Amino acid sequence: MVKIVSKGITKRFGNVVACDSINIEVPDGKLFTLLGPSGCGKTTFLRIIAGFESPDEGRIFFNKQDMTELQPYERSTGMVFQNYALWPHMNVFENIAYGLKVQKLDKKDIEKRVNKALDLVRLGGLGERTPFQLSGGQQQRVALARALVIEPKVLLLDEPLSNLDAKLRLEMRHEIMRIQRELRITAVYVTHDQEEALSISDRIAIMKAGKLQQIGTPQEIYNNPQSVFIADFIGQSTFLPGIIERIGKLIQVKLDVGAMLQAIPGAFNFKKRDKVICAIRPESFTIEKPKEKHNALQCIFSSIAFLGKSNRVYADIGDQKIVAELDPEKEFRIGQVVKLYVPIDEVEVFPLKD
Amino acid sequence: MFSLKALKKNLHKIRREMDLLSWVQLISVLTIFLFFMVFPLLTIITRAFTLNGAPSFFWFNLIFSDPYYFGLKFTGIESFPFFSLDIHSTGQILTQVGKTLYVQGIDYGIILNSLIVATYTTIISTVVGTVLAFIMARYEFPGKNIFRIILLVPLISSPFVGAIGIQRMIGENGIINKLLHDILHILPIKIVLDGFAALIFIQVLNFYSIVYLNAYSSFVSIDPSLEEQGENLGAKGFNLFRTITFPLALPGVWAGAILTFILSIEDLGTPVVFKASQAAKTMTFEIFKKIFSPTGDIQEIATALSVILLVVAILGFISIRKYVVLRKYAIVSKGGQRRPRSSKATRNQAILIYTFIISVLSFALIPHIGVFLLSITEYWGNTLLPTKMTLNNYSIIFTNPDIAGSIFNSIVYSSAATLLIIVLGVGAAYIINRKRIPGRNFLDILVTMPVAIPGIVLGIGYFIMFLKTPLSPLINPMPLLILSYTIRKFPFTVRSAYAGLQQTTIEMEEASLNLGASKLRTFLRITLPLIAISVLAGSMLSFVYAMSEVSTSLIFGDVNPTYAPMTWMIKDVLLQLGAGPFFAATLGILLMVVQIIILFISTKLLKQSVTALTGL
Repeated sequence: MVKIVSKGITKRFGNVVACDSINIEVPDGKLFTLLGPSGCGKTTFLRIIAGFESPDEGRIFFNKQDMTELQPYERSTGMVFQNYALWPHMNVFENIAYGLKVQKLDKKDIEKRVNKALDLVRLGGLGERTPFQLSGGQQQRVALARALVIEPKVLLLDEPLSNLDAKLRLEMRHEIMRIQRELRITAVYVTHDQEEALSISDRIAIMKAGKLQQIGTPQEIYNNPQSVFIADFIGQSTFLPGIIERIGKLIQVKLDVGAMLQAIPGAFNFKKRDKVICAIRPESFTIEKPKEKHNALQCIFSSIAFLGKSNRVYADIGDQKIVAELDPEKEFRIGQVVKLYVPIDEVEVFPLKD
Repeated sequence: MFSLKALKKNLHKIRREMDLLSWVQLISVLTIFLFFMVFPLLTIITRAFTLNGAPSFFWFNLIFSDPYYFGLKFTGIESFPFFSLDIHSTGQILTQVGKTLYVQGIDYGIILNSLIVATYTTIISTVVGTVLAFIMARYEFPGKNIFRIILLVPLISSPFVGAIGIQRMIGENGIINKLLHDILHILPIKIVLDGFAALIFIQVLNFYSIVYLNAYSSFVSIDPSLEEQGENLGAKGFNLFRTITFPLALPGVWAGAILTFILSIEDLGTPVVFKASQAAKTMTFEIFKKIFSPTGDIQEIATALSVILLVVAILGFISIRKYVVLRKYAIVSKGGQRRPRSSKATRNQAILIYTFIISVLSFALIPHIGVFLLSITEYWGNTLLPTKMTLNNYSIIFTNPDIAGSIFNSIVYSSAATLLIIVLGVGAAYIINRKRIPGRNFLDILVTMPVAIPGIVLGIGYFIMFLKTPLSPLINPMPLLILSYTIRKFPFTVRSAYAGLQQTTIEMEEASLNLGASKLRTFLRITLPLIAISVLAGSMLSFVYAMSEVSTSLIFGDVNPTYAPMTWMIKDVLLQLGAGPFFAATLGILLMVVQIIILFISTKLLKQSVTALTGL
């Protein structure tokens, strides 16, 4: 039953601000993901939770307890490292048993708990192997078992899947979800893979250049990105610059390419003549007129890729490019002039300066 | 810049980074290095600038006004056409007496003598070592692996032991003259290398391997794509070498060259063996002569000479660091994964390669052959090989209690020093590599500096500083000998442990801390086992080089033969009339055998990082 709270965590390395006044609350028992491009400070923040880095400012709490000044070994966090950090001079059993030996449990207890942990990660019977004799996925499971066997207050995962191949990554993703939900442990998960983040998380925090950008459920982040950066970073989007023509119940934007777009006002307080960027998801475009209120954009297909479940179509509108995922059953031609439709509630408008 | 806030931040950083274990490690390393390196050196410096208790430049004035020490003058002998062109930097003289060509140097006073000898040794060693390194790194040819091993032979045997063998080989009636002049008639006249010429010859045979090792690892570690890019842009052959390959390898060559210069200038063993000739007119031997060990009396002028020697060596060290810090660390972290470029030698290349390597090797093995022959000699008259051979020399190792005792002493001292080195060296490497505290660069400099500190200078420092303390060498030289070995051979283990730590990701330790293990437990259970092999390999090097340490061994051995180490005993028996040299050679062989075994094991353990052998 642990809730992690960070208050104004700031960490600098020389002139680089790795974490800039980060305030986060990780709810108890949830899987919380820190997502961002490499170098955004997400790993540094994780290491501050683990106690490997000490913040220049701010405090970290587990529930009400201030952890900021505690050493890593006093925090009871279980960490899974990006490179697993399995000790090559110990076999699998010894690796997992290490944390229990530190607690001076008796031999029988240790054996019981290690075997239980091995079963949990589905590696029963491999205790005698050395880490080198295991595949990447198996090493990953050992690292997970080693972190979990001490029954830590929180589980910390630093890009745990980045060293695995695509298929294994998918499999381990589900394993981690299964185990985390089975144990109901509070977990902080660091990744730069947005798809991974969307599929695995209860909540996601997006970071950029040391700053927190948005916190929300995967659905909120995907459907209501709060900046161009997030709309671009999560999934794919078409970005069309323009100027606000009218503000009322709807916003009307005159695009630089000439067309008009209508959208529902969001969190931003726009004025008339403000320069903005409109973001539209590929799957928001349709070739058939939708029933709801919509915009229409006339454009020319410039390239078409058949993806199986859909047709990915690139289309030109003036000097801008549109990316759309359209019906795979339909046939399209390059050079075809068409109208693409977008429901007005699926257009996100952002100020140009982001 | 230095505000109260910055100070506070640093203090906070130190408090967080340093735990009890680190404090113990740091303080013990600092204590040992302060008391047994920094303070003794400061004592010498103070003494050198003092006359009758007052600050004075007297000793330096004396040195630089006396041609015996500093004789920048034309002696008239340089009328010999070739050398008269450049008298100051060459200093070779050739005189023909009868049918023998004597080659020796010109005496410019001991300071310039030492510098000139070191310069020559460095230049020749660098050229030979670099060419060899390039060949070995870039060409494949039959027998390469055998050559690779033999080329490292000079590392076995100090110049001291080698000199004993060479003396017999290059003398007027030595094997070389007998073979090439008397028997094969290849040489029209006999050639005798004497004085500085002999000194340079012996040192080159020992030190080319240091340049070779450093240059070799530089050539091997060059990213092949850099050269391929050069070729891609049209550079070929020598042009490619000149513009890409050599500049990239230069830091390694440079480091090896400077280390050679330092080792040459601090070499005491060779002048001791050649003490009767001009070769003894060097700084190290002059300082050595001015110490009277049995009473601890040191002529004041020796301290001023020590300061000059020290300054030259430290300047060299500073310039090495500039290169080595960048290079060595970078190389280690790459782990030698990529396949270096090398090509099969063509027929003509192979002929050139064999000619070069074999001629280098036939010189390089002279000392070893000489020492070996002497060790089995009972009587050696005017014959090519020993007139009467015997294996009895080897029995004195067991029968002569003094000799057996000295071997025992050496093993005890070196083992004790090695243990100290391991305990302190691992701690030092750990702090330098893992602890983000201000001033760790200073610690790094401190513990690698012994590479540059001439043993004779350290010895004098100990004598002056500890003479009237319970550690006085006059009471028992053992503690100071162990400590001098500890300091002098420290860098080998630190370097090695550092490399081991660099190959062990810090996550290994963090994973342990994360599971609740204390820093001490983490260090003992995770860090130490993971770097054990590197530490072992490094400490073995420290051990062999401690066994063959010459400078402080000779000084403190003279105090009381009962406590003297093996190298002192070699010097002592060498100077005895009759069979002395034979016994000395026998001890030399024994030392070499120990070195071969240990060096073989430690290179196996160290695998790629052969440069560790040179302590850089």
